[in-house]
Amino acid sequence: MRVRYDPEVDALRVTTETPEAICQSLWDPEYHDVVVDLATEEGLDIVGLDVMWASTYLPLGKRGYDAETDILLMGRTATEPELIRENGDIIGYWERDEDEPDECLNPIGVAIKRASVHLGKVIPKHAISST
Amino acid sequence: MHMLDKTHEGITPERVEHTLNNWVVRGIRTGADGRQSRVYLAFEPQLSKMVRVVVSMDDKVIVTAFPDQAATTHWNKRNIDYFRRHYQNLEVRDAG
Repeated sequence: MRVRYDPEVDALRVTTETPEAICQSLWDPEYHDVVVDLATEEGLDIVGLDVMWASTYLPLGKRGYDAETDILLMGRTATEPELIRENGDIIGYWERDEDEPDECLNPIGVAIKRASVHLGKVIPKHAISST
Repeated sequence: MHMLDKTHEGITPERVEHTLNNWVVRGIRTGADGRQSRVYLAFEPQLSKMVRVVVSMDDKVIVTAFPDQAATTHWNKRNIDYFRRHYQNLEVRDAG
């Protein structure tokens, strides 16, 4: 996993070795600035992400971070196990579209496991909160 | 123009420029803490996708640009409510 942070635009970019086929914002308007990269148009594997206004979440502890599990969650988790997809240290959470439940799934959340390890590369260690 | 060093698949400076010049949906996105950015969306025929370009409010800095699957789906259905949910000061061209 490769992580870059651009302080000028306050954007975080996370990529993996798998190239993306398509991108999609998280579904809830509140999280529209979190964009996930998908390996295939029909698949659920998240292979990267863009976070605009990354300082909403960083340094870790400001929002969505669980220090006990060292997981940073942006958005919501899913309740149905088949709508949770892990791809390495990236977890994607999905929801059926209310209008087209049989055809369409929307990403509702993304989590980064071992967040302090991955994001510590771009955030000074002293800025990582333990709360 | 300024972008993170690795751009998204299929995104080139020419396609960013095409989107900025030929947008069909434009609006302002208010994100966390009330911070705002401008968003331009245009259909890119070679990708068969809507490309979303996010720029700073002064139009000087490109934050990111990528082919947007949800925007493509909703634009193809002319579901303008989808864009209204996410962007303020929405302007739409060629909605048919």
